[in-house]
Amino acid sequence: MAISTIDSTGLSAGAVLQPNVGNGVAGTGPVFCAYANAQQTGISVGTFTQIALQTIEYDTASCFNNTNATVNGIPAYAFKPNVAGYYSITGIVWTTVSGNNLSYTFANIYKNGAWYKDGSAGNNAGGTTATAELSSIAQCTVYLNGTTDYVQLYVWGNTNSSVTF
Amino acid sequence: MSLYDKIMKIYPDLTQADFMPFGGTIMLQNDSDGRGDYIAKWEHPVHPQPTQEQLDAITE
Repeated sequence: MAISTIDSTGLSAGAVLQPNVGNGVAGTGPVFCAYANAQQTGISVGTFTQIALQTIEYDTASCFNNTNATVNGIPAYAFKPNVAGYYSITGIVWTTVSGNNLSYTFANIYKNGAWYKDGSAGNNAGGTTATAELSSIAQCTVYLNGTTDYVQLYVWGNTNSSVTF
Repeated sequence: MSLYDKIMKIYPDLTQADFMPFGGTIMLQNDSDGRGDYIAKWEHPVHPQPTQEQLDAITE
């Protein structure tokens, strides 16, 4: 017997798995949002420092680790999706710097523990204030293999600073 | 004293540009795991990466 038409009424919920989805069909893969719940201090000059993201706003597939140790194979503060595909990653940092020097801050996206992309350059052009609030946004689309690949958020600044969020 | 400060004392001719994300040849990193700052990449065209002994000798 030939089946000429199949519609969703004949499918059980969750019956179509990711490998069955053809090219050009967007699924609803893992997605998360997390942020820091406290100011992170002691970020050294000229040093790419990982940002601690302790609070999860949402994590649809439990692919984000909001602790500073590896949990279930997910490194500290990393997003390690269990579905292969291209992911849009956005990280925002806001730093507080002191001093009257020209200061820069960059958000950085790391992939598998290594630098991957830099964000915009936040700076206090003029550098005449005693303290300054600088922000930077890093955004990229990155392929993650759904098994071993993960991403994390780092920050770099040219003055000793603390990260507000 | 931070690792950055120690390296700057060993090689006073280095500038912040050597450590910057864009075009820098030296990458210092801290994974916020308690191990502190470390040299993730050293590709400076003139100065060799300092040894741990050289870094430990810098106290102030």
